Amino acid sequence: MKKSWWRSKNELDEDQKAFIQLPAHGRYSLVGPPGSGKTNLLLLRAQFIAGMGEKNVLIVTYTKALADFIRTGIGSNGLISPNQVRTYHSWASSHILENLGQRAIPKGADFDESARSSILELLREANAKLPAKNLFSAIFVDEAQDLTADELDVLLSLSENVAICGDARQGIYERNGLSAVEKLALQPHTLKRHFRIGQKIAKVADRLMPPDNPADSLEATSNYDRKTQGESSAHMNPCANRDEQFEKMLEKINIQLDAFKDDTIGIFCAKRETLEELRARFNKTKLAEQICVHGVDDDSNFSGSKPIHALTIHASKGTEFRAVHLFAAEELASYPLNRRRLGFTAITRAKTALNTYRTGDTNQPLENAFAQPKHMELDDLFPGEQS
Amino acid sequence: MPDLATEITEDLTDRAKRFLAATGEYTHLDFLAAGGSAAVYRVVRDGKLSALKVFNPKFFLGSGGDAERHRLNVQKRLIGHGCASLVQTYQVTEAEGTAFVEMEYIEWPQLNKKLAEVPDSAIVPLISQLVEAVRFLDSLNIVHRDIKPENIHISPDFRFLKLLDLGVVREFDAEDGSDACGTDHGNLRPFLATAQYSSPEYLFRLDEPTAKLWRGLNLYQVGAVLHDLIKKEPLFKHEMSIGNRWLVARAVLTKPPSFADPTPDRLLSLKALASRCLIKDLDTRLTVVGWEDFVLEGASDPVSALRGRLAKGTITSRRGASESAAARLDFERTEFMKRFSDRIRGELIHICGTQLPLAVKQPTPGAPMVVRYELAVNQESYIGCNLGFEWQPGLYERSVNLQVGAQILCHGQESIPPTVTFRPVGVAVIQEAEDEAVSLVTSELAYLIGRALDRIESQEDVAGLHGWNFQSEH
Repeated sequence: MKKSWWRSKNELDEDQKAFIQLPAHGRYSLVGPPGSGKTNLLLLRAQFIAGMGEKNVLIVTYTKALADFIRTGIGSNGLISPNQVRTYHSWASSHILENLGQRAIPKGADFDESARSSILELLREANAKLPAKNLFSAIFVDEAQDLTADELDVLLSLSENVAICGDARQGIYERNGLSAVEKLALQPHTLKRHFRIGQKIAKVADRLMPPDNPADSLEATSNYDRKTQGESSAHMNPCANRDEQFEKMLEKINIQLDAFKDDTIGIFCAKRETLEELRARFNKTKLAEQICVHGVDDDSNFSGSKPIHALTIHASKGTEFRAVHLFAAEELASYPLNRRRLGFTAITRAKTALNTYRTGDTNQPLENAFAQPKHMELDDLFPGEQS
Repeated sequence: MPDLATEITEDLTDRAKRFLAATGEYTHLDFLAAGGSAAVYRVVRDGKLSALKVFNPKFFLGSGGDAERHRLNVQKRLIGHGCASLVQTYQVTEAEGTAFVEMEYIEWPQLNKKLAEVPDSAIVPLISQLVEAVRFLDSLNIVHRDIKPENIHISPDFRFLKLLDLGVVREFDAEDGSDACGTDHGNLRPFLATAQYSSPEYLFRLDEPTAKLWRGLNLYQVGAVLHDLIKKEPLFKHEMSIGNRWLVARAVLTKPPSFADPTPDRLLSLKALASRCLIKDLDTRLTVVGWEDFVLEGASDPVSALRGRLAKGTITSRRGASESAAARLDFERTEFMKRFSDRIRGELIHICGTQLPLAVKQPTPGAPMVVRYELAVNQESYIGCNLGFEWQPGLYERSVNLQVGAQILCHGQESIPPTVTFRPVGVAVIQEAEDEAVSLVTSELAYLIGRALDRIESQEDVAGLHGWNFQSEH
């Protein structure tokens, strides 16, 4: 994951530097396309503020994988410790336990819709009991679109200094967190450009979710440097069956491990069962030890040195990989997994190489996103006929 | 090839006299004209009139001689033929160190001199006779290659014509071993005369000489004669009047003949037929027109005529052929523009990195083809680098003039900046030498960006630079 984090300030553009250096005191939002460096900037700003002596900062994510991913970026400067990066769920549980002396949800219960609203009630209760409101020097929330505005409200009320970031196009949990920008009167900061996503991949993402204004498209705003990173590519690979999908993918991964040394490769799929299938398939290959299957392997995280990571698309939020393989895309054929935002999130994780594998149909918008423009004539519709 | 020099003509006259003396009495031998390879005489013997063509002996020497002999043999096959609208050949003989062709002498005037006088009612019978002659030659596997009003003689009552000249004026023929485009003087007239009635693919020798090429050429040239009969003036008259060979060549290649007429519904079907014959693209031409379309009177009943016509496709599908070629070209151009501008973007990103991060603005469909790279300098200002694509017409339709212009722009400025000043930097051709063009454009843009940065850094009030156009001085 090392390559995901900036190591030199020359890697930042003016807009990005400006965000980090905003006054420590204040409430901000950072909105930008995938790959614009939101997560990275949030972490840098958290470290910047911690470095000024305000050490009690909290970084909140929605998914466990993203929290884990951010921890790999903390580095050795000691400004932030790993336990300051938490998921919303984990923070809420301890906040309720500490202040109300009870469990957020009964042990073993699911973190579902009704649990979520009862947690919100408990959080409000807990906040009401607080002797002092400002528990934190600063609070940062990544992928804020995945929380509701109310959830953000109770969380952000615990500090005077907050910053949230997100991208409306990636709201795969269909929450309205970004509306908090107005509700909570956050000072908006917008990023227009991105440096992550290669132009060919950006084009696929744009075709899947066309922006209202073509000038804002990921393709138009991509500053991906193909001369140092390599020409980007995006392919849809139709396969006869899963075996062929895996075989094709393995072939590409073996090449990529060589071509993208010290970089990471992501394998995404829609369902958890498929992750288990992948684990079983990889166990029969030489790469068994090189892959971390998140949510399946014990102690799966991004901090090890494994170059390949398999995740569900939901868990892939906020992460990035040099090469992405979207395995078993036929699972995205129908609702709810056919939503464009889900495909968009998966696609925009990739920097240089994107490959999708399917057996049978995936959803039409995704298939269409990979299609190449072609010259067409009326005669092409009637191939048997000679004029 | 210039016309024969006087001394050669005199020599040919001597040879002709000896030849005629040996083959039969003659009473008259009058010089008529000389082309590049032969002289033509009017001969009277036994009270009978004929035309005698005497070749320059030089053409029967060396390797060129075989080709010339082959052509004579072709013409020999026409001796005593039965086609009324084709000039008769009496004899083809090699003697006196050269070759003689004796043909029917036609006293009628050349069609090009009478165009203005031919009545509309005569057009159908005349063009039918011309088609008859061409198809007759076709049946013998002979291509005339030079069908034009100058080579057609017309009876004073406009009821009959005869196609003339089987190989008299072959200046433009590659087999003659000379290039008609060689010099600007001397051969200008024959070049023009021949180019004017050549189909584009024949004029530029774009295709291999195949049966298809000759069929296309015949149809084109007959169509051109039909055009002249309808318009009562020669094809590309304007270009011819200027006397510039390149203008004529360009017209042949790109200018669709107009049939504009004060009486719009006059000779409608003939105009349609001629314009189909004069289609520039060989494949399209052969798809939409054939000899059966020249069965212009009586021969077919209206029902089968309509059927035959519709079998060739409706009007829209005929147009469709050229439209689809245009659509394909348009597609290739758009793809080229995307590919090329994307490569320039790659170069700029590599050079400018995070110092000058950029966004790309693609042209909207229908707008001029200009791709704009906006390089953010700081919070206030950015540099707009514009890359314009100016496609060329006709023969160079796959070539594009590349032009660039750069402008300093500031955010939050009310005033609309002046239009971008473009400067051409080079030419790119689809799928050819794209690399060179990329480096041309990149270095020009790099230069302009450098200048723009100099300007911004030396100016305190950057807002004052809004709309500043940068031009290269080198």
